[in-house]
Amino acid sequence: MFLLFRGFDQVLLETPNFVEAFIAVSMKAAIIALIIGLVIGVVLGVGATSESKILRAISRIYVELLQNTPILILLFFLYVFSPYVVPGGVDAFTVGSVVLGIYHGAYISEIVRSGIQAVAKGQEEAAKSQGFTKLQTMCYIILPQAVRIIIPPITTQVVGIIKNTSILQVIAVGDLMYQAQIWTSYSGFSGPAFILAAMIYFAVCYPLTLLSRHLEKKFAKGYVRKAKKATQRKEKAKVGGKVYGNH
Amino acid sequence: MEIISSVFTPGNVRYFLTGLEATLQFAMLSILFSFVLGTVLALVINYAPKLLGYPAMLFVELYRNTPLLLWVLFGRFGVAKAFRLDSYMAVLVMFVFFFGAIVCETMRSGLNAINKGQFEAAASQGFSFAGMLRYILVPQAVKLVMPQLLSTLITIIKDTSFLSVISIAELMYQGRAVMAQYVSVSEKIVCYGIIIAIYFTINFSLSLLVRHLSNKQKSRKPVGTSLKLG
Repeated sequence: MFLLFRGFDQVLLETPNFVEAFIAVSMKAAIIALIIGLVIGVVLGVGATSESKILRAISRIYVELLQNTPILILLFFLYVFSPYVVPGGVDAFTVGSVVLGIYHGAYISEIVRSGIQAVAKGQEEAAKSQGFTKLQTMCYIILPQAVRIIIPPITTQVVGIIKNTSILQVIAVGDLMYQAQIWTSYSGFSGPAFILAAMIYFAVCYPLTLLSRHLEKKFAKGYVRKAKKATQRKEKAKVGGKVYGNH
Repeated sequence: MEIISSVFTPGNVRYFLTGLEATLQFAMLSILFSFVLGTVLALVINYAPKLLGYPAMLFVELYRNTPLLLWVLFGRFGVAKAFRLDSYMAVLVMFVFFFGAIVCETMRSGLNAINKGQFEAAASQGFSFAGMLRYILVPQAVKLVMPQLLSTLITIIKDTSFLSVISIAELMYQGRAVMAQYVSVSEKIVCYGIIIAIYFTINFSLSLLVRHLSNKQKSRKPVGTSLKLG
């Protein structure tokens, strides 16, 4: 068992390099992927709730296609064919970040879609009655309310993006996993580099997971309490003072 | 059309099918063992004394916050070398640990969703705690979270593509091997299209099943609701 940890003291010397690789490459790719993913996600999420059948179909096809294929295949596909699409080829880092953004954009669009649909339908009708156009309704009324519902799942997606930056290693981008593997191969010790890499990923992702759970509790409470109070008030008014709560 | 006939040779098709068989075999073994591990972990975290529960929770959190590729590489270059295991077994163990943590979260949500009244009703009938778990709670929890478990199966099938990185001959590896024979772009695109189509067909059918099951569940009465009085 402790064979796995042999050489751990030596890999600890490499920690600054690992962390630097992580921040400079993995986190940068994660941030670019997050931005691309948010843009795609919001556009497709809003499109999925629109009334035009074409927009809904495009969004549906995109989401289904990307949620049911492995990300590694997407990565290889775009990496191998990028010289034909963009003359001169694209460097591996850009391809990786774009693929991550495209892939997670599908998941984010589902989150955005469910967030928009969770905002009460009455809001949309009330806005229409006040003379808002479709776009104005979306921008001023629905999206601000949907944001509160969307943020906790998006935080979980951010954790997923950071974890998925590990696939950049496969196309030889110098991210954390790549460094770990290079160290393992030239030092001859089997385990420690990966254990250190796991600790770095954990140290970054675990706080985000905790944040996501905290946000979920915080946002859910405000909503539920108001709804429960409103229902109780309604019941009181109906049955002449007696409130039959749910058992 | 010569592209199609040049790619769909019997040899190539056999390559793809071999890869598909390896992928599905690995995925089935993974989901089976990770379901067992996940259920055990969920029961330990929820109902065992804190002394056992905290290490289990640490295990689950560790595997939830680290990437799968890390563990795949660790299994191949770390565990397999250190213990001189076959890399297939080592990576299978890593997959089982990783997805065991995910299944544990799912099962915990299922167990927590069961009405407290079930516990009391079972105790009043004289069930021991183990009996309660085995005959009443776990079956209900599994039925509740079945859609999520199938989603996890979809994720497992997608993540078997990571095995191609460590040269295990599953679908993507075989697909890329087939692709290496061809030089022209259009044939390579057809090869990729075939791989993507196979993954998409399997996963999409499973996701339709997931949607069907979760719709059926939504229209059913919630589990273990007590009677409404008044």
